[in-house]
Formats: sequence, structure tokens, C-alpha cells
Amino acid sequence: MLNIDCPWCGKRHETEFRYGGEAHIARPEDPAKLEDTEWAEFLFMRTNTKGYFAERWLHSHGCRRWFNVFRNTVTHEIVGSYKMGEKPPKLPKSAGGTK
Amino acid sequence: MAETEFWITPAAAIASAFPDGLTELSPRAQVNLRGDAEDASFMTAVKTATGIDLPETPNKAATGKEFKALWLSPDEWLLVGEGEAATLVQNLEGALKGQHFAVNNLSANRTIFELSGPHCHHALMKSSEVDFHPRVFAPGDCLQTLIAKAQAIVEQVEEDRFHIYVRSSFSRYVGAWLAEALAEYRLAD
Amino acid sequence: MTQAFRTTSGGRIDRKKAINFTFNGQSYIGYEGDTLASALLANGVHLLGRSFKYHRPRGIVAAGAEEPNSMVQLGEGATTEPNIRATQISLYEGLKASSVNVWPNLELDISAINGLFAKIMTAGFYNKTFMWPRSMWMKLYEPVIRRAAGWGKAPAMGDPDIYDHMHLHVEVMVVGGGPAGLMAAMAAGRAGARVLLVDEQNEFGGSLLSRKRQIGGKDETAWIADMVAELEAMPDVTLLRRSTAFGYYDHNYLCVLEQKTDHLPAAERKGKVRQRVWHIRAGQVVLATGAHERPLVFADNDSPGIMLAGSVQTYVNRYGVLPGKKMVLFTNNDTAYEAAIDLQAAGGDVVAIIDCRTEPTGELVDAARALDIEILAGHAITGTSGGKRVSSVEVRKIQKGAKVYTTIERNIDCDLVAMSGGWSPVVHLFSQSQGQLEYDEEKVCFLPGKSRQAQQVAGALAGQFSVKECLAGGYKAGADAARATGFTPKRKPAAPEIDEPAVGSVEPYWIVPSSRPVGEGMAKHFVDLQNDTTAADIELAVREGFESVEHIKRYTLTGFGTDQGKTSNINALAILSGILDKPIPKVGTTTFRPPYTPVSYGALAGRNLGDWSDPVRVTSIHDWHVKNGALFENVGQWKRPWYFPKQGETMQEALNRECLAVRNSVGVLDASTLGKIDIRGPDAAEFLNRIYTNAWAKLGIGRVRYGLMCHEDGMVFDDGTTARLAEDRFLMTTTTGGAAGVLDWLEEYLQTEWPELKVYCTSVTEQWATVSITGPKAGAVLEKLAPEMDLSHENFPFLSFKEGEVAGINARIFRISFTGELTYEINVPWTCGLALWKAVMAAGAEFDITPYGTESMHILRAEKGFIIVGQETDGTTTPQDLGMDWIVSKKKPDFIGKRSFTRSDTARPDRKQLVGLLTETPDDVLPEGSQLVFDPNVPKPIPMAGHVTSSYYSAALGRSIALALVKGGHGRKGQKIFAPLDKRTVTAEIVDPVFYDKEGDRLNG
Repeated sequence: MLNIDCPWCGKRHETEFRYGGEAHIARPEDPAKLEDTEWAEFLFMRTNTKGYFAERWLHSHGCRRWFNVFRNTVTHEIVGSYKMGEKPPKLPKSAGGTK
Repeated sequence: MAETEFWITPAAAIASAFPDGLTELSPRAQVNLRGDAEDASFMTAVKTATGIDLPETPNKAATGKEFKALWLSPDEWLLVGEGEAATLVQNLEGALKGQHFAVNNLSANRTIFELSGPHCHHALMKSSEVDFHPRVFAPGDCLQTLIAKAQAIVEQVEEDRFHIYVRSSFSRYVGAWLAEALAEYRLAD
Repeated sequence: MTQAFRTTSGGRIDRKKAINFTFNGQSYIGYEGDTLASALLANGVHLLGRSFKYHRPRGIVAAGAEEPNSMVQLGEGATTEPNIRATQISLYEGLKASSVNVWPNLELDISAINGLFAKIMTAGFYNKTFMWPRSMWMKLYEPVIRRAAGWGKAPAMGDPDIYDHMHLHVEVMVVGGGPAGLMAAMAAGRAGARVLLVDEQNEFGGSLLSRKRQIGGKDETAWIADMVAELEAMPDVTLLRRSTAFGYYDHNYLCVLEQKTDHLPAAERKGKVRQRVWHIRAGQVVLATGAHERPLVFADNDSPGIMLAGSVQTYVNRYGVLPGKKMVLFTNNDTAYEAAIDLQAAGGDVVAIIDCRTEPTGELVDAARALDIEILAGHAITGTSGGKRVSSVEVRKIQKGAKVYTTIERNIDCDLVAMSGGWSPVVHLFSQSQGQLEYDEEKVCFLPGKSRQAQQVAGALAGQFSVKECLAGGYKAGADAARATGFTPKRKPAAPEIDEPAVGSVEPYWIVPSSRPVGEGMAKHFVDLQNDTTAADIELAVREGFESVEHIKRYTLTGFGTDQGKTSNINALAILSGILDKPIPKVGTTTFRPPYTPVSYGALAGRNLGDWSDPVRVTSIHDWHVKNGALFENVGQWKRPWYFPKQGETMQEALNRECLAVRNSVGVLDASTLGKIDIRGPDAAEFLNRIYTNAWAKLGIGRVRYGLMCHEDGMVFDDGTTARLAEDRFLMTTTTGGAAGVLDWLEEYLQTEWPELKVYCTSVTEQWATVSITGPKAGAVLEKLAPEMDLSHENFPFLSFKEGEVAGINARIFRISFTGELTYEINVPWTCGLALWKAVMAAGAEFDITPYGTESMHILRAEKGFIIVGQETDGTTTPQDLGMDWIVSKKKPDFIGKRSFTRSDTARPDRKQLVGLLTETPDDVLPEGSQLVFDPNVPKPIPMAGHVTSSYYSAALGRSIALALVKGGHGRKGQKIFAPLDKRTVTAEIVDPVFYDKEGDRLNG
């Protein structure tokens, strides 16, 4: 049972949240201009990272805010949460972070 | 007011059998308000219309004269009180004219249970995964979470007294659940 | 029967409180504080059951959670429980237990003949023998094996007991209430942290309950009592006894099973919660879970009376029981000597200590010598006799490295063998928490290595085997945990004087040969007593090519069952390491998984049963529906009236009546469950333009429009009508089941893709109760309820709404239609729903107004060819597939889903498309979900052409109708299609999906 840090409400149990998949995949500005393959890339392709991964969560039973979580998909370690439009937190040094 | 004249919630049918420490409150005004807390003109207009400084700190309630405001999200509050909901909506609509906001009379959307007494914390521990220990959740705090498996707003009104706002369709389920959560202690007392 | 093996004094039992119980029908007496195991041993009962595979006599081996044998059937009737180990059962007045896996009875077990066939019942026996022929499995092998090998019986009735769950948040959780755990809780509690201390036993103290120690001038009992008293006085320290932490999950989330009434006589349990599962979120966890003693693996090491040395000591000191009067100790370490010393002190006779080590030295060894106990160093037990109770052991001199020990040194008569192969820290929870284990060569055990969660380890788990180390280690762990959660520990108290023997040494000795090599002859070296796995089985598994410890476990069954191999896992893997000639750490351990000890389904379910297994949502009109005989259908979590049968009516008769009432007069539907979302802001119309497939900018105020929503992949996911309340304000309706998902989805786009749009969405679903009146007389009914309102079609046209009073209640009335008839959807505040419904029923009485449910609603809309999302669509259906191109804007440059409509897959002509079906025989109602084919006569497998999505008997049309998704269906109208059913094939014609009133004349009544 993950303990997820909502940027507004603080730490709450996973049961209050909804998962939203990989973060930082922007909807293309003008889909009509895209080739089928480019559109398919946006629609279907995800990195399925093993390790540190930026993902979206919705605090659906709480403040109903969408936000991002930087989580290790192997250990479930959560490095941090951040609001939409913000940059992911730096990796800890122990986890191979550079700065 | 026509609304309260006919007032009946699904929980009403079982409320007479509630144990000590659990009641369904009489209907009161609940008005949902959305707007930009960082916009001073919005906050000022709301203050003018209601006398309340909307809480900007997450999960806090602020009290005014007739109504109190519960923080629901960074741009959403629930105004609750004994006053007239229609008048409050009118006042807000008037004060906020020309601004970007949303106000809805949701007085019928949720029913309110009051959980109180020596076992209210036990009942909450059986119903919620959230930490309501007095060290972390005090009178004047409110939050949204799940009670059993239904979404709810939980507000601590005073020590050992909680108000639990539940969507009307879930009210019978939650009411019965909370009653059962207290049953163990009725036996023991 | 007297308790012949009870000591005259001592122990933590209450000798003033005698407890009557029965085992296998025989009456016995024990004392309060006993377990079933200790009470049976006090009465000289060692033979408790028969083993799993060979039906060999088995008795009690241990005194706690590690016990591999002694499984009993506990209790009777609905509350009976199978396979509970006697060491885990607190004795209570009236307890009834019996052996499992014995037939026809314990003393005479016919199945023991299996023992003679032991040669063929080796590892993988089940896998090999019963594989072929497959048909025999269900008929013969499975039932016979079940009866022969089956353990206890599950209760046949529902569980009448009450269970529940509780959630607790603490800064520091301490698992294990021994000296280390008590000290950790004390350190954290004094620092001011909220602390939870759990222990599986009925009292705190851990190993101190079994061993006599002087701590700071007090005996262990007084020391424990003082510690517990101080902890209990701290307001934010919670102490849970009889509570086993059985699962350690992500982010310091632990589950604990508290057994609240299992130790009480039946009469005192009534109405109480039997077991509670605690869900704990802890800032820091201190694991002080102790250690389990390992058995030694020697020939015929499984007879009743062969027990773990530390457990013998527990029975003597804690329960005042002599498990035997003539004991032989077999050990590879010093610690076990204390069992011999304590047994002798309590009145037993230790006839010999067999020590595998060549030169045992140390305090305890000297103490044993001082008691004139014979010590045979460098010797081993190489065989036992006695069967139902050990009666003698065969002792040989150890010949280092030899596969066979040649000469019998001695045969020693005894009634108890206490064995000790050293101690294994209870790393289960640590390992569940993803912590890594490290092998300690000197201590001959796995110890916790690197942690992955916020935790500390202390006590025997951390290799701290003396009380002195435990107290220091426990205090440090508790203080560190408190510090890590923001508290300042108090100054460390001075270490108390402790009177205890030095721990001494241990020498690994994993398998004891006998006169023949392991696996040859009749002798068996048991590794896992519960699963009857022997050392020879492990050897065989390796010979057959299994090398991974995980594979060996599954092939030999080592480590499965109710004890999960607590006494066998390390021995098995050490033996495997020997066979593979790989060091133990290289062999690795199997994965430790929850639960640590068995947890009943009742406890896991808690109160989430029956009506509470999922929330039941009801409308404000629900009770009227119940009173008026409605049958209900689950729609999401909602209970919706399905239909309202009258006395003596069949379902179809009721549906015909309801549907005809709508077509000919007026019907009424409770539509309160539809999702409703208030959408407001200067960009609201633009937002709708982006999320619906059709255009919204020009919708007039007061008007309503139907809309379809797609995901980015172009597939339909919800639909509904949306009304324009004001220039900047709309009220959207969604499907009943889709409401929450649609709101989340709208917020997702507003918050993540288009934060620049000024739009607020507010769920108002349960603000509004909705009563829909429909049929040619709907206008006449509404006229009576809202006499002031102008209902003329000019003033109140189709797809518009009005506000006004209906039956004296403020209402919003929408003119939309899901039946094709004149319809008014009246919305009033939720709490007034029942009042409105009753007013509608009264006003409609003269038109015989008929309440109808979801089934008639489905028929009525299908007659009109209206889709239901989730029935005609399944997440792979586009608007074009549904023939709804008319609702897809060609002009809007972009909306969600648009780009996907031109993907090659969504544009291909042979997609499944929505059509109507008319069966050749008008009465034939196709089953929903029927697969369809174009030609039933081609060889199988027949290519699939599609499937039936909706199918009903239509009373208005006097025949059946169906909707279907058919490959290229739009171009196949007039063609035949076939539904091959179980015993017949139904022929149908593909038609337009609108069956009734194609021109739409009826909309205006």
C-alpha cells in the first residue's frame, strides 16, 4: 500500500488515488498535422521504465488534483511529488543521481 | 423553503436506530464555491458577500458569522451554515459578477452525520485509513477521504466531535456502517 | 486423568484455575495460561496426529509459531477450524479438539501402510505418478489422495463470528515484545513518539517467558511487569497482545492479526469481535521478532517425544510441564545445555548430552558436568526407536567427512529427545519488506542486511542472542526510530546487571549419517515434518536436475503448509548447499511472503461482507420502489428498479405492460442516478467543443443537445445530454456508471492539457433527483403539476428546458427523450425526490401512469435504435461504427478522438458496425452476446461476423428485435446472418437499427 504525497493534502494511502500513467507526455498541439505513425507514438507508446519513473496520479477521493509522482517502479520508493507544470525532483545520489 | 419541507435522505429510514454517538444532522445550507484563491478580487468579493476569509491552507475550515468555509481543493470550498442557501448563492453571484467563478447550491447533495463521544476515534479507525489522532487532526481541520468505501468530507468540529459529509446516495451505506462500528462499544459500556 | 507430567511448582500458569478440555473425545484438565500443546504434554499425550504422506505418528516438536506438527481440528459446527497447531491454541474451558489426517483413528492408522511404499513416494511423487491418464485424475486419484492425505475439514456452514479491521498510524511500530522489543518501545515511548508494540503471545516477555534471568536485581517476571506497567501508562503507546504482525508491505504498511476472543470459552465470546486485522502505517518499524531453533536432521528424527531443546525449556519453565522424564539432549551448540539443566532442576532426568562438537567448553557445559550429566562429545544420534513415542536412541561416534558411521557406540533408553541445531533469526517480516539477508558464518544463520524501508532491527533477529545485547540493541533501535521520526530520545538508562550464561559457540552440522547412506534403507532423515520431506528427497530433486532453491521447494514441498517451513527452510537449503557444493549464501533463500502465520478468510474480509462488500447507492425514491414490488438491477454501485411485476405476472408480461403504457399513455422512471456536472466559465463552450464530437458554441441558452465523448483513440466512452443554462454555464449529464470517470477525465484535460481554459466543473449528481415522465399523456400529467407553465411545443420545444415549480417544488424540466415519446425529465433537489414522485403518481393516476424500470427503458430505447454505452460499445467502437457520423463535426479543427478517426484501423470498411436484426421467427429472442456468422455451413472454425449487443421482445412491435455489431454491417442491410446457438441456428435479417417510429413523429406526443 503506497503512501502517496499529494502536493496539497500531504501523505495519503494509495486507495484515495487514481493512477494516470506516464507523465510529461503532452497532447500534440495540432494532431491533424501528424503522420499516422507520429500520432500512434503519442497514443500508444510508453517507456514502461524499470526504475525511477515520472508518473501521474489523481487525488480522486481527496482534492481531485492531478499531479506527478517520481517513483522507483522496482522498490516503490517515492522520491517526491510535484505539481503539474513543475520539474521532477532530482534523484538521490544513492540512486545514481548526478547533482 | 420548499426544499426542507419535503426533506428526506436515504439515511433517515435507519437513523432512529443509530447508537449513542451517531446522529444525522438536520438539513443545512451547503454551497459549493470555486474560484482562484490567488486572485485578490475574488477573495475580497467572497469576504464581502460572506464575511469569511476563505482558507487557503489545505484541509482547514474558516468560520464566519452565518457560514463556515471548508477547504476542498486549491480552488474549491464548501460553505456550510444554518442560513439560507439561496440567499448565499445570490449574494455570491452578485459580489462575483464579471469574475471567473462557479457557485452551486449543493444542500441536497450530501447529508451530514455527527460522530461524537468517547468512541468516535475508534469508529473512525474502523472506517478510514486516515490519521485522525488529536496530534495530527484538530478542531477546525477538515479533509476529504473515504469512509468505508464512500467518498466523504470529515470535519472536526470540536474535540471528540466530527461531522462526516456523505453523498446522499451513499448515506444509508455509511450510516449503517458507522452504527455498526460503534456497536461493539455499546455492548461494552 | 491427572496431570502426571506437571511440575510441582513454577511456571506462568494459574494452578488455581483448572480448565476442562477434550482431545479425541478423551477428557483432560489443564490450567489457565496453558496452550493446548502444554496441557496435552502435562497429561502425557505426545501422539497428536499422523504425517502427511507416510502417516507416521507425530507429536509436538516446538512451543510456538514454528511448530511443524500437532495440527488439530479445533471446535465444532460452524466455528470449527482445521489444521490449527496445538502450540498456537490458548486453552479455554470446554475446548474440543481432535487429530487430523488419521483414519480410522489415531492409534490404528491403516494408511500407515503408505510407509511401506515409501520408496515410490519420494519427491515429485504426485507430479510423476498421477499425471496419466488424465481422465483418471478427477475420478480416482484426486478424491482418494484427498481423503488419504487431506488434513482437517473446513466448516460446512457460514462463519457466524464477527471480524473487523482497524487503521492505526504511529511513529514507531515495534514487532515482538521480548526484551529487545520492550526496550525499543520504551525508548521510543519515552521520547514522546506514538508507539505500537505487538506480540503474538498472550503476554509480553518473549524469550524471558522461557528462561530464568535476573535483570537489575529483579527476576524476569518482575522486570517484564515493570516494563509493561510503564508502557501502559504512556497515553500514546498501544500494546497489543495475541497479535501477530503477518504482513509487511510497501512504505511501512503492516497488517496485524489480533485474536481477541479465541482464548475465551464460547459463552464469553458472544457478540464480541473475534479477530481484528490492524492496518498499520508506521514512520519507523523496529523488528524484534526473535529467533527459531532449528532441528537436527538425523535418522528417524520424527517420532513423538523428539522436540526442540528450547521448546522443552519453554514447557518446563513457562508451563510447568516435563515433556519427558528421561531426556537425551542432542546439540551442536551451548545454548541447548540450559534446557537440560532446567529439566533436571524441575525433576526430570537427563540421561545424556550428545554433542556433535568434539570439544564443547564453556559455562553451560561446565554447569551440566557439575550436575553429573554424561556428555558424549563428538557423537551423534544415528537412529531412534519407539514409533508412537521415542523409547531409545542409537548413538555413534562422528567420523568426519564419512557418508556412513560404522559403529554403534551406545543405545540409550529415553522418553524425550531434545535437539538443537542452532538458532535462525525470524527474518520473515524483514524479508517481506524487501530487506536483503546476509549469511553469518560464525553465528551460522542468516541475519538482516540492507534495509529497503524505514526500519531498525534488534534482538535475536539482529544476532543479539544474550539478554544483555537485546536490551542494548533494543534501546538503540527504539531511540534511533524515534529520532528518525522527529523525536529526541531521553538519556539512555544505565545498563542493568544481568545474570545469564554466556552464549557460547555453535558448529554447523546439517545432516547426520547413519549406518547406511542417506536415502538407503528404511530410515528417514526428515527435513520438513509437515510435508514429510526428507534429505533424500532433496538429493533426488538435485539428481533430477533441480538446482534453484525455489524449484527444490516446489518439487519437494519443503516450506509449504501452515508452518511455512519455519523449522525446515534453513536446514533444507544447507543440505542443498552441501549437495551442490556451493556455499550457503550462493544457494540463497526462498522468498518470504505474507502471511507469517495463517490468517482466516473471515479476518481478511472483516466487515466487507454481504451488503457491505461494496457500497450500495440508492436514490431518494428507493423505498417507494421497494414497497411497490420492484426488482432491482445493479448499475455500477446503484440499485435501480429493474421492473415492477404485479401479482402473478411473469417478467415478460410485466415488461410488455410497462412498455405499452409508455407507448400508449404514460410511464414514469426514476432517472436520479444519471451523472450531472455543472460546467461554468468563459471558456465553457470552447471546452465542450473540445471534449464532445459535435459543436456547442452556437447552442442557445435554454436549449439542450445530445453529445458523444471519445477518448484520444477515437473510441466512444460516454454520452448524454448537456443543457446551456447561461452564456458561460452548462449542465452536463453522463451515464449512471460513467459519472465519476467523466468528471475525472474532464478535470484531467483542464488541469493537465488546457490549464489556460477558464472552466470549473462541479459534480451535482446528488443535488438533483430526476423523475422522467414519458408517453403521449406526459404533457397532461405535467400540466396538472405545473399549471402555470406554458407547455406548448412552441414555447417548450423538444431539446429545451425550463425552470419553475412542479408540485410546489423548485424544478428544472428538460424536454429530452430516450423512449422516442414526449418526455419531461423533472429535476428537483435530491431530498424532494420522493415528494415529487408521489405527486407524479397521484397526478398520473387517471392515465394509469406506470412506473417502469431499467429493463423497459432498454427495450424502449432499443426500439428507437438508441445506443447504450457499454452495451453497444465496448471500448473498440467509434461513432462511425455506430452509424452516428451525424454527431461528428466535420468543421471543428480538433476535438478529442478526431485524429484517430483517420487511422487506418478506424477507417477500414470491415469494422464491426451497428445494425438491427430481425429474426426469421418473430418470437425468437436471440440471447445477448450471441456470436454471428455469415455462413453457418462452412467448415469449423467458422469465421466470426460479429455479435448481438441488445435483444428483446418488443410488445409495441409484436416481435423480437436485436441490435448487433456486424463486420461491414452498414453495407449489408437486407442480408441474412446466422447465430449458431447451443442446439440450433437462428436466422436473422440485417436491418436498420431504428425499429419504431422512424420518422420521430411521436416526440411531440
